[in-house]
Amino acid sequence: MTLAAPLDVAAAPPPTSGEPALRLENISKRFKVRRGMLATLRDPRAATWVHAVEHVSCEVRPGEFFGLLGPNGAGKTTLFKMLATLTSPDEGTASVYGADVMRESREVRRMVAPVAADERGLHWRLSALENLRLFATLYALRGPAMRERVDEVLGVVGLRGAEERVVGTYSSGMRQRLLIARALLIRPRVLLLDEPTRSLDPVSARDFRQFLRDEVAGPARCTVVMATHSAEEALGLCDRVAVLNRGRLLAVGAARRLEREYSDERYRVRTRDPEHRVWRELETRGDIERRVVGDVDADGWTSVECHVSGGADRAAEVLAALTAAGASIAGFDRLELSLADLIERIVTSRAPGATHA
Amino acid sequence: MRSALALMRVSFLTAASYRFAMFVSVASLVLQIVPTYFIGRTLDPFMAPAIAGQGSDYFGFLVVGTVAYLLLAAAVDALPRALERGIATGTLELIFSTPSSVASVLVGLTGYELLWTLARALVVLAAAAAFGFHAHWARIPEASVILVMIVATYFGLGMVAGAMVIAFRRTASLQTIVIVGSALFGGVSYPPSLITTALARYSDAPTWIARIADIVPLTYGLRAVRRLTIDGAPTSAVLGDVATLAVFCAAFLALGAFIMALALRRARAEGTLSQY
Repeated sequence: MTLAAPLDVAAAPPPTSGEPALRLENISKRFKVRRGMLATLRDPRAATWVHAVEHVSCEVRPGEFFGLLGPNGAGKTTLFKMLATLTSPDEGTASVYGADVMRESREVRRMVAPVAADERGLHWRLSALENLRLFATLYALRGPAMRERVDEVLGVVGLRGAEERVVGTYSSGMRQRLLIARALLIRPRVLLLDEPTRSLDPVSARDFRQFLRDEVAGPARCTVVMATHSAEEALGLCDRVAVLNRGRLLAVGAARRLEREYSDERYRVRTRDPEHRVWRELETRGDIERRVVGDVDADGWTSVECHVSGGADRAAEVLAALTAAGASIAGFDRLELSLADLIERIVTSRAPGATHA
Repeated sequence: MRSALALMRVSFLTAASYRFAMFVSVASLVLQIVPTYFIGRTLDPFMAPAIAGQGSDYFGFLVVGTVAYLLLAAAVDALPRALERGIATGTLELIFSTPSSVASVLVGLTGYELLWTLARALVVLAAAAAFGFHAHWARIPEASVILVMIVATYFGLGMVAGAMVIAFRRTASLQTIVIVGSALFGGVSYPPSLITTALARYSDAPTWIARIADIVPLTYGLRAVRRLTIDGAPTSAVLGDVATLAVFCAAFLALGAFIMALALRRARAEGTLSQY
């Protein structure tokens, strides 16, 4: 996917009054669980509720790239829908640059552009151009300015040249790009992306991330809130991330800081001497905990995964001890915490009764 | 307004992409005139006394009834169908996430269907004219206003059905009940007075059935249109019917708008605006 993006993607910089782009204050949303006919007849008044979002408070700064992480059913999409004014909160308030999503919903819709995770929302019997023209008109763009903007966003998402094709003939990736082009039409101040790269191939996804970084969230100062299950997006793209589980906000912070905080400093060592005495000595002293994770290859090398507490300095000492003892070491790499592990650890540590602060 | 026009344009382009269906839709109407003509001419001697107040030409009576029926069916059915489609394809959610007003969205979603039905109604009139249908063309402007009122009245009921789609995803056959009920009791193919005559033959028949016609807006609108276009009656002769229709129109539009607002609020509260 080619993303020959123009610079003018987002709205004019927001007011400099210090107003956050998004402010959520104690916002909650619960949904009634649908019951079977018999259960309803047995007890018509009984109702079971599920909390999709529960007392969430946080702020997103203008121009920030903010990630929403969490397992399925964590409340990410509900949060998006509330910000896009499609679902009303039961409690609390949410505002976009000071405009309340309930009281000033029309103003909010002028600033916020949602992009759904699936490819629904397009008119499949029409061309991409017709789809974009429709939404440009709905966003009150007119005349030459509209034509210019439509052409511009087609270029941004790399669909120029395919704009006359009927959307039904597009690939999943092309449709996803068209949805993003639709969202960019209004130069949104806040872009809500719900798993935007889910339908993209790895190369297109990488290019798309690059485009978001360079052209949307960067100089154009568009605030981007992205729900994602991708480690590359959460750790490589987001300034800060929030972790949600069962509607509750468990942690907010810089992705790398959270990763450090929840990581257990694991290293993968490539060695020919997994049974060398120095390993046992280090283990006995409590410097490491280790396990052999790889098979021995044809040249006799294998991988040992070990936990080293005490940060990079301590890891350097362990490496020095190994080499000083004559163990053959071909690699000593810190293992990145996977996004799944990070979320799982945060969820586990914040569970009732857990000890993590 | 521009939002509504843009949505209508998209509906037109989508419909035009199904060219065969479009052709069949028009051709079937033209063909429908043939049996209507023969039925009208055959039953003319029997129906003449019953339709004396609304023109003595039964074929003309049927033609006007068919035109009004087409328009009312579109007015009732267009919005719930457009909303069902929008929910199923996900376009409705995205349209509602734009700053366009709800009113312009609802008009835009149904505008094309209504205009297309108007075009089909004109085809029916043209085909009927070819078969000898004579109307008092000087009365067409007043008759058109009454037809617009019929459409507006039934659009109010269409909004109720649309609200049910938004709230419950189903209309519980409301459109069918309204369309069939109006056709049976509103005088599309026979004058409502015929129901009273028919019931009088059976002593045990419930007489209240004959009163249903009184609460069907089409009864008043259609009677007025026929008197204007077939009889050539002056406007003053239909003011009573027009006033009654106006009351229905205001009441149903207000009811439709109120229930639609409630349904949208409920859908936002329950987060079901985009569920399908």
